[in-house]
Amino acid sequence: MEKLITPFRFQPKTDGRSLLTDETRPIQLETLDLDVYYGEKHAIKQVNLPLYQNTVTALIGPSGCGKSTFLRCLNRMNDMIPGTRVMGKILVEGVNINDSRINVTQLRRQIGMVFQRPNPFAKSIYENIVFAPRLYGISKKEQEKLVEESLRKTGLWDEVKDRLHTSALALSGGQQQRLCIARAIAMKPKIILLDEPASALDPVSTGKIEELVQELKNEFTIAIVTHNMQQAARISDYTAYFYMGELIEHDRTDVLFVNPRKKETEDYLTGRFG
Amino acid sequence: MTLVSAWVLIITLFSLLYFIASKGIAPFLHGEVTLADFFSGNWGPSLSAEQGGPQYGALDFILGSLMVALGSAVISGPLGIGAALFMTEIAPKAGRKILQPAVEILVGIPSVVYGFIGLTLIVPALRSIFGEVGFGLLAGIIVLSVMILPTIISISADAIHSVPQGIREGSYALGATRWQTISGLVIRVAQPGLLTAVVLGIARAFGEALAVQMVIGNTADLPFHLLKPMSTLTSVITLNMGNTVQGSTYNNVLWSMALILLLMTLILILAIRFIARRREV
Amino acid sequence: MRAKVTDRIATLCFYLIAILIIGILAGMIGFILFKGLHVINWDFVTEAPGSVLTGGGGVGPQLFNSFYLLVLTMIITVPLGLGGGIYLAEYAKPGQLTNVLRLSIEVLSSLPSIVVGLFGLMVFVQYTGWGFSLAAGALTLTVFNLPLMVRIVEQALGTVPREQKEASFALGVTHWHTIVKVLLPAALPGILTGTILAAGRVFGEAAALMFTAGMSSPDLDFSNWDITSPVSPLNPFRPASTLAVHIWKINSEGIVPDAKEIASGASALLVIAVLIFNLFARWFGRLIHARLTSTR
Repeated sequence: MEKLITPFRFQPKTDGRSLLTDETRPIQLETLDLDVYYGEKHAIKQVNLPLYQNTVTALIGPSGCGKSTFLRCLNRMNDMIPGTRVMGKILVEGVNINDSRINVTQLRRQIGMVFQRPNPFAKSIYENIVFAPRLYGISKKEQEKLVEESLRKTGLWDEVKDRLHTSALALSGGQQQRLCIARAIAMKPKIILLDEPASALDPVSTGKIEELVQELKNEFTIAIVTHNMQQAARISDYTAYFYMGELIEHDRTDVLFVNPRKKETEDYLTGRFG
Repeated sequence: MTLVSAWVLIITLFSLLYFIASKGIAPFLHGEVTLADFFSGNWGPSLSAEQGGPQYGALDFILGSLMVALGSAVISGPLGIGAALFMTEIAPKAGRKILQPAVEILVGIPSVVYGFIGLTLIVPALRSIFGEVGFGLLAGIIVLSVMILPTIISISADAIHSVPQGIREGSYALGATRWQTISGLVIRVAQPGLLTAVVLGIARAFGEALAVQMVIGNTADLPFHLLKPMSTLTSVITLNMGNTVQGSTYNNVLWSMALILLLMTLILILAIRFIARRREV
Repeated sequence: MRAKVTDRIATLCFYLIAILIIGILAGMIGFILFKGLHVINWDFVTEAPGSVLTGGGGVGPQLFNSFYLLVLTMIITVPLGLGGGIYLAEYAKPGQLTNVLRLSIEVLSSLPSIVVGLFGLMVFVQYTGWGFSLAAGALTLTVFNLPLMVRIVEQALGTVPREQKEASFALGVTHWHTIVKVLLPAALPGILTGTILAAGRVFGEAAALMFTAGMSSPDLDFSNWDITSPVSPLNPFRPASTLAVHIWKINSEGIVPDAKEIASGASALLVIAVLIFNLFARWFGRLIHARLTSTR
């Protein structure tokens, strides 16, 4: 994070309840005692959660449990919502990014995000991808390379290479969502946040997105919010279960789904919830 | 950067209020006219001292403005709300495709054109039907009714649009007819918005100058006969502002009349805000 | 069964109202065109008015003045309107300043145009010392056109889906770049349509111009492009009567022998201009929308 200002350096915290003591992978991002308030509402309560490098972490829980709110803290998207207060620390490579001195736009270049509903710009496919990189100055040749590279990584290249300059809105929902992922990775971020990326898509498109997520973890660290437990089980390495703004349990996915340590998690997983 | 325009707007408004108010109050402060004279019905700026003049009573014009504005709202209110209901409840497709564009064109037609139509079509028609001069309150009301229709229609339509769909469905599910649903529920829920629409229509009618001036007849008479010529604040200002000497009492009194127009607008906006606030409770 | 009959009657009434309104509009436009079209020819559109005694001539300078005044007004209004609209839609925080600003917009846009005209007379004509002039007229028109413009821009920006803004922010694009490169292009059809319709209103305005741009035009020399020359049509500090003001003046003075004819022709011209503005706004808005969404 060389371009971010570096006000404080912290030692990674190791005594939080969510840190897996037997884990040896390096941590890409971790939150320390994160609290979020929407006005009076206490939406996230004292969450400590690490994202390990080159892994997929799934955030699950019932609607309104705070999983999306949590995700939106990680690249400061909650700044857009008036009346939101985020307290606690979010450490990325030792830098607390939840600090008013952080350059938020620089930060978001390094932590990309894909949303629930595909939201391509009302521009061409090509323009969608080069839109943000161009604002930071890249040559025409680099642009073309970037477009091809990003589209290939998301498996869109063969489908759209003949109509790069037509409107992105003419694509199918699944294609639009993969374009949004291509657009995010074109910025070469370190972390990609996915907020229920497949919930508005048909099963076939969903399958493609899931495959894509599996491939992308080789290059990026990924956090994905999903309400679909099967999806979480299929694609994630770690799973975090949220309930009423609290992080109830965080573990390796194979462990959490087979042997949850908390009764609340088990109830949710077995559908005996609520 | 973008804040510049915000300040331009705010400063413009306050300087406008300041300039018009200071100029409008001046004749009273300087003792040229008393408030009692101004609000009397005696208008005779060119009367000589022996005839008791000059007199600057603007009551006839204030009442004239009120009468044409209220009169046109009486006609245009029901018509406009009816048209808005047609667009939203009866035939949304025809409404969007035909009535909506028609309303937009009506907004765009310049007021002098309305005045010209009044002058060449409505005044002669009234003259041949009723045998009077044709110029007067009724001609003014007719012209203004058409002019304020678009305002009333579009704001009413917005208000009716914002009535939740569930209210209608609930009513139909109970076996109510469309008219029962509209008259019993939709209108009641949309009422504050409809009231706002009519008030804004009145504001527009009250301030309209040229179209009214062209058909109203322009005599200093009380506006209590539909077919007799009369005057409004705007028509007196339009006709005389250019023909009176700067700084003369006559000229200054015209500014006082402009101040009345300004105050009336402010009062109507306050009324709208009051209606809106009641809706929120 | 009574409820059903009442319902039928009510429905019939609604249709009658709709037909009445369409009929009024069609009748008015038909009347104006019927009265005025035969007066309009090339000479009427290009020539200067004849002398007061003989009549004749056309409304060439007035037509030019209307357009020129529109251009001047738009040059002032559009940038300021964009700025104000962007401010309200994107930057304004709830608070006193925003409240005062919204109130200002509401009051300014509902003030009678004659009152705005008198304000213009006091400030732009007398205080600046410009006298009756195009510049004073344009500034006066700005007073009630700007709030309209700010609203148009704010509303158009408001219709851009939130997702578009989020998408841009999530890519690390700054707020300003997001506004310029994402939000404004997406809001463009709405802004353009609104602007053209507002232009139509400016074009037909008269009450605010009588005492600001004036009710007369000097003899213009259309070959003179020196904007400082008093006879140059481009000089912004010369008095100028517009088409709408001209119609009012000849009607109320009634000295010119063919006043009725000229007024008919000029009214028809105005109505045609309004119709063109309206159709153009629709067509243009649709065109831009289509270009932005389906092809590049």
